[in-house]
Amino acid sequence: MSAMYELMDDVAVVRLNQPPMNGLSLSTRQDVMQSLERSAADPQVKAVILIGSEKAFSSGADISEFGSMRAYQEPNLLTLVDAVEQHAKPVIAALSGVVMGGGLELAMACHGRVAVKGCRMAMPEVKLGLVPGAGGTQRLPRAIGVEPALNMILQGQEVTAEVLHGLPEQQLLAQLVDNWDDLLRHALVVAHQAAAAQAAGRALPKLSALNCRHPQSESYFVFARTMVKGMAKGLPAPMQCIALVEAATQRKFVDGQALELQVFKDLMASPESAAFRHLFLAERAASKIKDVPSMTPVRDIQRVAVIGAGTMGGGIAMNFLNAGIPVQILETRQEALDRGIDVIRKNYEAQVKKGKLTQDKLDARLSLLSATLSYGDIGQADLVIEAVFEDMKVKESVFKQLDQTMKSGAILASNTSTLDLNHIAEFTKRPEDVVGMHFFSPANVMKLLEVVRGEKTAKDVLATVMALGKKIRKTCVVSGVCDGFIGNRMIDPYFRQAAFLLEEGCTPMEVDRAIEKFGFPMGPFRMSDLAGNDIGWHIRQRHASEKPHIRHSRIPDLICEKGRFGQKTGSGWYDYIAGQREALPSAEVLSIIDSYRAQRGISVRKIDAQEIVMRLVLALVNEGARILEEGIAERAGDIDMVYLTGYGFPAWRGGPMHYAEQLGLYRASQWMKRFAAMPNADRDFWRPADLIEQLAAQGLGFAAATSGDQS
Amino acid sequence: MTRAVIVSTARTPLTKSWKGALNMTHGATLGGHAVRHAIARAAIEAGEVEDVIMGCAFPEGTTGLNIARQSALAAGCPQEVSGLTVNRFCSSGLQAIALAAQRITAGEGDVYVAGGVESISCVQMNSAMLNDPALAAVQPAMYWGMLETAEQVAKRYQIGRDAMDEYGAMSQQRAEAAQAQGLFTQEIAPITVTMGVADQKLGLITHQVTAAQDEGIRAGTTAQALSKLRPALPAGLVSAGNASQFSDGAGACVVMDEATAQRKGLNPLGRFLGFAVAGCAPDEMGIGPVFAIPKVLKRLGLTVADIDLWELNEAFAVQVIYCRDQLGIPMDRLNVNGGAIALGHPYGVSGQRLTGHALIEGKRRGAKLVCVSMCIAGGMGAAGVFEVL
Repeated sequence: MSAMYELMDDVAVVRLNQPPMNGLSLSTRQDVMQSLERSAADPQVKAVILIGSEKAFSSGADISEFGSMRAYQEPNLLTLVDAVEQHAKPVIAALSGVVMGGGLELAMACHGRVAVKGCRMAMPEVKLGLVPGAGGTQRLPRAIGVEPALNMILQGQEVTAEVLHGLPEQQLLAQLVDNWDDLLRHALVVAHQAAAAQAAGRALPKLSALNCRHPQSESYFVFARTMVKGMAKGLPAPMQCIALVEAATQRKFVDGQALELQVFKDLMASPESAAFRHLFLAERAASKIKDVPSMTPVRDIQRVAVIGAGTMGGGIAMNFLNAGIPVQILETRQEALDRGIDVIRKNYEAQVKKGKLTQDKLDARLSLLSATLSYGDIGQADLVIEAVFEDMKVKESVFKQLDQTMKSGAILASNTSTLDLNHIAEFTKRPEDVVGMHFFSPANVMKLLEVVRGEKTAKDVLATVMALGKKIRKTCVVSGVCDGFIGNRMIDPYFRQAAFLLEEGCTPMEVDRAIEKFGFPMGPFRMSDLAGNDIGWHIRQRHASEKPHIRHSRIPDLICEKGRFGQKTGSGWYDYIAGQREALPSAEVLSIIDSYRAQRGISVRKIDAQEIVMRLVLALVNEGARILEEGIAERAGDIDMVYLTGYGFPAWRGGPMHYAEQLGLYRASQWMKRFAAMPNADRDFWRPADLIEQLAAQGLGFAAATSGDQS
Repeated sequence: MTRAVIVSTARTPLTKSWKGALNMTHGATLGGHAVRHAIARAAIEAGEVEDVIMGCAFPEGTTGLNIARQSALAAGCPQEVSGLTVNRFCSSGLQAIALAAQRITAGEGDVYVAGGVESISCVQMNSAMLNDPALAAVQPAMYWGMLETAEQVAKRYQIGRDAMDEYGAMSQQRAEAAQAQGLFTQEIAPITVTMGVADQKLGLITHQVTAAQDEGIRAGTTAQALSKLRPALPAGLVSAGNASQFSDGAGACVVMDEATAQRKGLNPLGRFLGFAVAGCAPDEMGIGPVFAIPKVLKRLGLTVADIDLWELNEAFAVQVIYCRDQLGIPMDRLNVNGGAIALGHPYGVSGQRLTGHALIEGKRRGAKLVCVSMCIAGGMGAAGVFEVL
C-alpha cells in the first residue's frame, strides 16, 4: 500500500508510503483517494491527517510517469487535489522533509498545515520547462503573497518552512514544530480544532477562497516580465509562470486554475520541456553503471594527491579543497610548484574580492593544500591524479613511480585526454586501480568529469570515483577507452565539418553566427581561438600519422602556419584588439580561404544557416551513435550530459542525441545521406552509423538501443 | 524680446530604465510630481495655470491618453486646467517650453506649465504598421535606428572611437563633480515611489524608495575603461560608454508672462528669447543642431561667441563632437556639468532638464545668454536661446 490508513481516535491518519520520496504515482494517488473515501464513509472520523515520512511529505509527481498515460490516469493529481479540498471533513497536512511540486499542491489543498522546522518546500516545475499544474500557481500566491509566490515558482528553489512561516500574513503554515517526533501530535491538535470549528458551523478554510491582491499589480507584472524576458532567453515556462500568477490576481480561482491546466498541457508538449525532462532523467541515469551495482562498496578517500601544478593540476586540486579534502600537489621543480600554488591562491583571492568567498573559507581551503617535490611524501594518499604533460613517455615515468610509491589500495587516476589509458595502466602492476579522470578546463569550474574505464579498472574503483565526483560537485559520465573518449571524440568531426564549410563557401563568422543562434555560447572558430588553434594542429598532425584515413581540410593548418593561434597571439580565425574580447573578421583569413578554394577548384555556394547547423550538430550525432555502438558510452543520455556540461550544448535542446531523436532518426539519416552525396563530401564520415539506420528503420529512438533498466 | 519668462523648474531625478527607482511608476505620477513641484516653486495657485504642455517621445501606454492632461490632474490642478502632449522626440521638452512662451507672446494666456515626461521602463512602443513601405522606398533612413544614424555620422565625418570615449568619460567626470558639489540639487524634487528590484536571493520584489539623485553617474570613469566596452552594433564604434543612457523621469517649468511675474513679485530664472527647428538628412540626424543653432542665432542677431553657456544634448558623443567642432563651441562652455551620457536621456524630458539647468548654472557663473539644443530622430535639430535673469 502506498498510503497507510490508521484511525487514531476520531482522526484518520493517512500516511504516504512510497519510498524514498513519496512521489505521487498512480498507485499512491489511488490509495490516498481510497483513504479519503474510507474516512468520509466512517461516521466516527471527524478529521483526516495527511502525513509522509521524516524524509519527505512528498516530492510531487512521479517524474518517471511524466509524458506517459499514467500521469493523467485517474485519479490524476488535479483530481486528487480537488478531492482533498472538497472533502467533507477537515484534512490537515503534516509536513516534513521535502514538500515539492505536486506535494506542495496537495498540501495547499488541505484545510490546514503544520510543518517540522527545516522542512524544504519548492515549486520546481519551471526547471523542467513546466508550471505547477495542480493549482499551485493559484493557491500559492493566495497563501503566501504574490511576490514570494511568484519568486518561488520562477526560481524553482527550496525555501524552508521557517522562512515561509515568517512571511507577513501568510496562510500556508499554521504552526512550526520542532522535530519530526512532535509532528503527528501537533497535527492531531490542529485536526481536532478544525473538526470543532466545523461542528460549530464554520466552513472549512480553503486557500482557494482567499483573495489574491498586489497593491501595484499591473506595474509589478510589467516589471517582472521585463526582468524575466532578459533572463529567460526565450524559454516559455518562466513567462507563463508570470502570466499565471497574474491571472491569480485577476481571475476567480476556478478560471485561473483552468488557465493553469491549459498552460501546463501546452508546456508539457513543448520541445523545451521535453529537453529539460530528458536531461533530468539523463543526469540521474548517468550515475548508474550497468555492471556496477549501487551497493558496491566504495574506497575511503580522505586525502588526494595531484601530480602537476599547471593549469589543469591547480584547477583539479581546487575541486577537492573546495570539498574539504586535503590535497598534496607534487611537481618536479620548485618554481613550477610555487607558481602553481600561487595561481590557486590568486584564484581564491579573486573570489574573495568578488564577495563569492569569505576570507575564512579561503584560509581553511589553503590550509588543506600542501606542496611537495618528492613522491615519497604522497604515498599515503587514497587517490592520486596525474595531470602532467601529454606525452606517453612522461606518463610512463610518472605511473611507474606511482606504482612504486603509492600504498596498496590507492587509486591511480590520469587526467589524460588523448593517450590510451589501457597502455598507461600497463605501466603499473595494478591496472585494476588505474582509472581516467578527465577534467575540463578550467577544471575548478567546468562541471563535466569523464570517468574513463580501463579494460581492467575495478568496479569498486569506478564506484568510488563516481561517488567522489558527486562529492566535488561534478557531473560524472563513464566513458570507455578510445581517442577523445566521448566529448573530444565528437568535437573532432564537428570541427572538421566547420572547416569544410569554409571550403565550400562560408566565412568563419557565418558558421559561428549560425551555431550560436542555434544555442551554443560560442561557435567553433571563436571557441578554437579561445582554446588555442595549436591544440587542433597537434591533433591533426597526430591523425596524419596515426589515422591517415580521416579527412581534414587544409585551411586550419594554413591558419596555424601563419602563427594565428588565437586570442593568445592576438589573431586566429579572427583578429583581436588587445584588452578586448570581440572577434573581428580578418581579411587575411578570408583571403587564405579564398586562395585555397581557387587552388582546389572549389566553386563557392551560398550555404544557409540551417545547413550549417545540421552539418555541425549531425556530425556530433553520427559520431555519438558510433560511440554508443562501440559501448564507449552506455546511454545516449550520457552523451547528452557530456555535451551539456562540457561543451555548452544548449540545455533547452536537450543534447545532440536528444535533438536528433526529436528531429527523428529517419530524418537525421536522410540529412546525413544528403551530406554524403555533396561534391567534396567526406563520404566515409557521413555514412549514417548502423545504429541510426537500424533505429530509423524501426521508428525508434536511442533509448531502445540501451538494454537494461534505466530507473 | 518676448514677454515669456521661466519662473521655476522642478524635475524628478533621472533613474535608470528597467532597474532604477522609477521602473514601476506610472506616467501620470511622474508628470504630476514634476508639475506639482514646478507650480509650488513658482508660488502660484494651480488654478492659475492655463495649460500644461508636456513633451513625450512615446506617448503611449502609461504615458498615453494625453499624459499632459493626466499630469495636470495628478498634480492637483483643478479640472479647468488643460493639458497638451507634444511629440518632437528628443526636443519635446524644449518644444513644450517654446510653445508655452509663444502662446504667452501671442497673448493667449499668462501662465503655463511646460516640460516633459518619459517612462522607457514601462512603455512598449506600439510597432504595428510602423514602417510605411512607400516612404521607406524613398527615405529608408527615416526608419533607421538611432545607433545606425550615429555610426553613420562617425563614418561620414571620420570621428573615431577614442574621441567618443574621451568625450563620454568627460561627461561622466563633469557630472560626478557637479553632483558632489550639489549643482543638481536646486532643480531636483525627490520622489517617493515603489520600485521593482531583482534581488539575488529573494527574486523579483518591490519596495518603497525615495529617489533624490540622478542614478546614471558612474564615479571614476576613464576613457581607458570605456575603451574596453564592446560596441552596441557588431564592428561599430558607439558603445554604452559614449552614448546616452536609458532613463525615466519628468520635469516641468512654469512659464509666465513677464508682467504677471513682476506683479506677483517673482524672480524669474530666465527669459525665453527664441526657438528654431531645422531638418536634415535622416541618416545623420545627429548633426541636426548644426542647422538649428545658426538659424535661431541668426534670427536673434547673435553669434556662437555671444552664447555664454551651451547645453547640447548628448544623444551620442559622436554627434556632440561633430556639432561642437562644426560650430566652434568651446568645451569650457559646453555641457559643463556633464550630460545625457552620464545622467540619462528620458527623451521627452531632456529639453526641459537642459533648459532648467542652463538657467541655474548660467546664474551661478554669471552667464547672460544660454543655448539649449538637441538632435532629433527623423533628421532634425532644435535650438532655443534664453536670457539668464
